Amino acid sequence: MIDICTFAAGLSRQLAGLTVPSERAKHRMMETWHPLGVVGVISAFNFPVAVWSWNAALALVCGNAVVWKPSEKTPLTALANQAIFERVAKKFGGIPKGLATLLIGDASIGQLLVDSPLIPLVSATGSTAMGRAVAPKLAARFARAILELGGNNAAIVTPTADLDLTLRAVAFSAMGTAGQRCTTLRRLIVHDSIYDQLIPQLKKVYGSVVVGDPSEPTTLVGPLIDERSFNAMQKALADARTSGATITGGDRVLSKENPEAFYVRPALVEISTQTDVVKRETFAPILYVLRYKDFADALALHNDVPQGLSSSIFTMNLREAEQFLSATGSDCGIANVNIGTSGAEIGGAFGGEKETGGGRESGSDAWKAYMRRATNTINYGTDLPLAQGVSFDIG
Amino acid sequence: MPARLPPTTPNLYASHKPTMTIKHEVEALLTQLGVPATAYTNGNLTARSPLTGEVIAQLPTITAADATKAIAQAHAAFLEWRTVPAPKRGELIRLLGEELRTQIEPLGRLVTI
Repeated sequence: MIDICTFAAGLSRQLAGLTVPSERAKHRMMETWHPLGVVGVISAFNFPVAVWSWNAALALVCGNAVVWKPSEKTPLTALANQAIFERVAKKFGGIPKGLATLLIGDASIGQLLVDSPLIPLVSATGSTAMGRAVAPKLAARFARAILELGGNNAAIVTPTADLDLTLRAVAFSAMGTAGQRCTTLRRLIVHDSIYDQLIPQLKKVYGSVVVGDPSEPTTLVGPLIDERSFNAMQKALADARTSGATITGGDRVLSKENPEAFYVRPALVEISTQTDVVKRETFAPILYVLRYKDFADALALHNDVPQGLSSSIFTMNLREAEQFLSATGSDCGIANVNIGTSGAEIGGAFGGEKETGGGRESGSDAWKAYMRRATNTINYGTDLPLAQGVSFDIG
Repeated sequence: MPARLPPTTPNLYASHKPTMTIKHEVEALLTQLGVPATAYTNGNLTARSPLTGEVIAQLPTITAADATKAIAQAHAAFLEWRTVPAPKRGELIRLLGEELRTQIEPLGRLVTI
């Protein structure tokens, strides 16, 4: 959150347009970027305040107002965030009333943002199902959408991979935040020749990570958000078992101490083919492990899911690494080499393709989605030459 | 192949050892962050902590009519804000970053619980 504020503060002096050479004498052509309007933000529980900041920091420096509908599961952090913002506004010397508005409510309030003609852009983070409901409504009124939806992020581990580094990266990406990040590693595609070296080590890690209260410094895996999330995880594991998968972990723990909270041991699921359960996103700590022999098959498996957010390759082979990042490689919005799929930096554009929704937030030129581009042509001569040499002589 | 993660520990499960209930801690944090109690009591939206599953607040929710008014208000704010020079708008966000830096502990703790 602090990083995006630093980025956006610098960006406020760089909202510049191009000057384009004109084909006509004594003409100048340029583009200007203007504020767009009220930006609606619909955020998910997993990053309860960060998603607001990624959107609001850019939207506000771009000259827009922001109306935010946070997840019903995490409204308190939104209240705290709003209190902080209002203090800052006072320190700034006052801002127009309602410039950053918080709406606490259910899905019907989100719906209101989607339908309002006063909101030209809605940035929505959540499930693909939510995106499917929101996107057609925005399209029907030609409003813009920044959609950050489901991910089914994979990593390919090749024969030359640094396995020690791979193990650490996989552990953090797959189990961190109890598998509840949109960029969580959900599929591991491992070469046959190193499978029996890497996977037993990984199983050991899965068996030994501390699950529990995230305030304890030794804890690496906290709770799931609620019972619904736990049930979805158990359903996915049951489906995988039916497909003949071997499952390590995945069971509920600490239920005696916390009968109304849902702690689980992260699950490692060895499965021979990429069945339907592997292709759908289950927002829980499940890592599906698949084997490959031929690199082309690994790439095909990698891209053969409906989602396209984040991806990684672990290799010391330059050809494999470069192909993974090329037009014929990963089809995701984020593609990494020798680091995991999660934990993106603020400076890059964040988002993904296919069912992930196609939106980009945060760094690079993501700000352009929050502004209106105008192309301006200025004639500083006395003639009126028309573009494309068109003649229109009124005598 | 030495695994550096995770630290080996005999106790695989860290159970919450409360010095006060999560509800009380949340109230203390929200007060510290400047949120009035009226914003999270006696409402119809139930907030729970995923740590224990306990109810930590009951938030009043906005009606559709009031939300529509708020959107109109935001639009009026936009009409004014768009005339403020962009680097001046950047100053607001710079100050926000500064304030977040000072509040990072209570806000981070609130996100955790």
